[in-house]
Amino acid sequence: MLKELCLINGISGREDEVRDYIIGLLPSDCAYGVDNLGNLIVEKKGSKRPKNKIMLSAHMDEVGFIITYITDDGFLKFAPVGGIDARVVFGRSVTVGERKVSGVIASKAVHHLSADELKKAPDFDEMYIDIGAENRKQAEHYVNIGDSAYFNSDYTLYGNGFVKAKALDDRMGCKILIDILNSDTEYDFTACFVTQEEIGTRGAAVAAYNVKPDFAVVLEGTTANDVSGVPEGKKVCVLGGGAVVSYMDSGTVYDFQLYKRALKIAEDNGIKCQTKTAVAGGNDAAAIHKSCGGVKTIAVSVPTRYIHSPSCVAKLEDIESVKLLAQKLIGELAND
Amino acid sequence: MDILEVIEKLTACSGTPGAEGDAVETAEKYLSEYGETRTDKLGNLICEIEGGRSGILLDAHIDRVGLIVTSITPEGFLRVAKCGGIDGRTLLARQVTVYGREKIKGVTASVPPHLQRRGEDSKAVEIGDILIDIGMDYENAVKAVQPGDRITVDSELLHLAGKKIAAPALDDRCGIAAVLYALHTLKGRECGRKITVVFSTREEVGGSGARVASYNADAQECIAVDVSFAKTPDSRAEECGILGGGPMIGCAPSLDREISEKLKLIAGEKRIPYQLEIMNGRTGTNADCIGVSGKGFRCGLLSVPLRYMHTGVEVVSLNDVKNTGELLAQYILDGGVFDA
Repeated sequence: MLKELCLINGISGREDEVRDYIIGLLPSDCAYGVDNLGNLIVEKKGSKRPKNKIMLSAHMDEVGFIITYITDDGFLKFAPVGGIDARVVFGRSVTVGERKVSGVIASKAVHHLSADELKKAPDFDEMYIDIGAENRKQAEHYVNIGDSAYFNSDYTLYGNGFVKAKALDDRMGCKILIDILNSDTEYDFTACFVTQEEIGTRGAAVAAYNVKPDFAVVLEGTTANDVSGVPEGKKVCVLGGGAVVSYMDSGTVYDFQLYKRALKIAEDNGIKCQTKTAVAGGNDAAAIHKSCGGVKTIAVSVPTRYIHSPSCVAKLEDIESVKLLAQKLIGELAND
Repeated sequence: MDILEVIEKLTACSGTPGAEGDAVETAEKYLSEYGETRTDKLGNLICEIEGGRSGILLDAHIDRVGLIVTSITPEGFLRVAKCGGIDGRTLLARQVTVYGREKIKGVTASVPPHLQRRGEDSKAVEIGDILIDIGMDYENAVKAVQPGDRITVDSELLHLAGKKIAAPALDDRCGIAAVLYALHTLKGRECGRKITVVFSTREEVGGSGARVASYNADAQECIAVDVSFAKTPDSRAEECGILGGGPMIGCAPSLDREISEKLKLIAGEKRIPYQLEIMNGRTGTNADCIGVSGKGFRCGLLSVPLRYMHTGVEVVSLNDVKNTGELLAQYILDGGVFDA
């Protein structure tokens, strides 16, 4: 299921295909609705009614590109949707537009670069997508301005339990949430598959307003930098270290009691868990904790290398840890 | 002959400089249709097709750019150097294949934007900073991989509009396809010349393969088939050909003037689209080293126009590949420069 989820394309605001796929996997006893921002909100019935309303959330959108212009000679100019390092873009193959045509992201050949140009990475405004069209008219036959474009990237298992794919951020969260919805739970909760995270946690703000939870648990992929040469304190979090629970990131200062409690729950239940060693990144908690007059919110994340690139990497056992901790949190917070 | 199928098979091979084995094996299946094949001390694939006097040598190189493992870090990541002039700008966050004890998958590491210092994303990445993540700790990594093992960046063949394709290693596997197409066209037709075909190794690291293969070749003239730059929006017209405009006939002080002129003449007569590539000295192709190998050769050069050279998404037009093969065949049928 994670493979299919990652291979589906959906930048912010174009999450339709992801949402349709998820709806197809919902258990028949769950009521669901789609709100004005495209958030999919699912009510899961447990065996008991909780005292507190619990919201679990994962975002459906991924980083990608939007076509902004077609040149006279048929090349497509584009802009990133979400935070993409321009250096992971050059020389990639992409799928473009409603007709899903193939293209390549390119710029001047390396042989034609000046000494100064060789020191620089090509910026977005120096690159274009080549779909093989001879001119604008021919290109317009395949692509319209405003269409989206996506990295072509296989879902590949490698090494000792690692997975590489595009969009692991946050289709891993979607997968965990789908798994939890399809298992027996003790208490009712609301699952939200939200939109537009990558352009400023916009879907989650609306979803939280519509759900009005007492507690929210955000399921995410978070940035890990545990590669060679990075000092221990700067790795942020490590693959294989288990679920990541954060005290603070660029978008949220988390409820400290809730943070400590999550670590304790993990410890008590033998679930691998770690915190971040840096204040970096952000997620839907930023929007959710400020909505409806305040929501106690926690983010439980899968450590992810090379995030926002076409080759995100995660460890399968960490995905399982995040699921286990999220399930425990529902039970603990329901009657807090 | 299905040019696309040949290119698909050839571009799926690794074959970095000095390790061309699997590409040679694949090319050999096609080349052996036309005569007995052999490999020499540098791994060049050679086929001599008997046909009479005044032999001609046809060369296309079979190696492709890639990476070579230089060391394994204590954390089990691989450090690498370039093996050929691969475009370093394309190396972050890529899926790669490591040809270790077994073929394994890996990913080139990148620092996520969330953790970068301001301005870091505008700097070109240094090859010495590239790390390959193979998902193993040191103990397992050293069992699976050793320094000297080769790495290629994974990239699949894509179909673009108007009979164009994007793929890795089209430099120069599409040249190989063009030579094979020429042989296919010549099959069963009397050309009265001995043809020696060399699919040469190590072009991307200086052309030692072609130099060695041509040393004793029973030929007086040579046509090298390679790729050259096709116009992109940001390149200068005078430095580039047009994609889809037909083979580029090389004209340079290091090339034989008469061969260049004859190629033009024949393309005109046979209505094969062509364009000229004017260079002011050497050509940067195997024609340079073949020309001065052994007793020396009169050299011509045909290039398939190609965009985004040395990336995993090189683009060519299949029509250009076919027309390059066609022009080569017509030139040989006409007798080359020695019968002129």
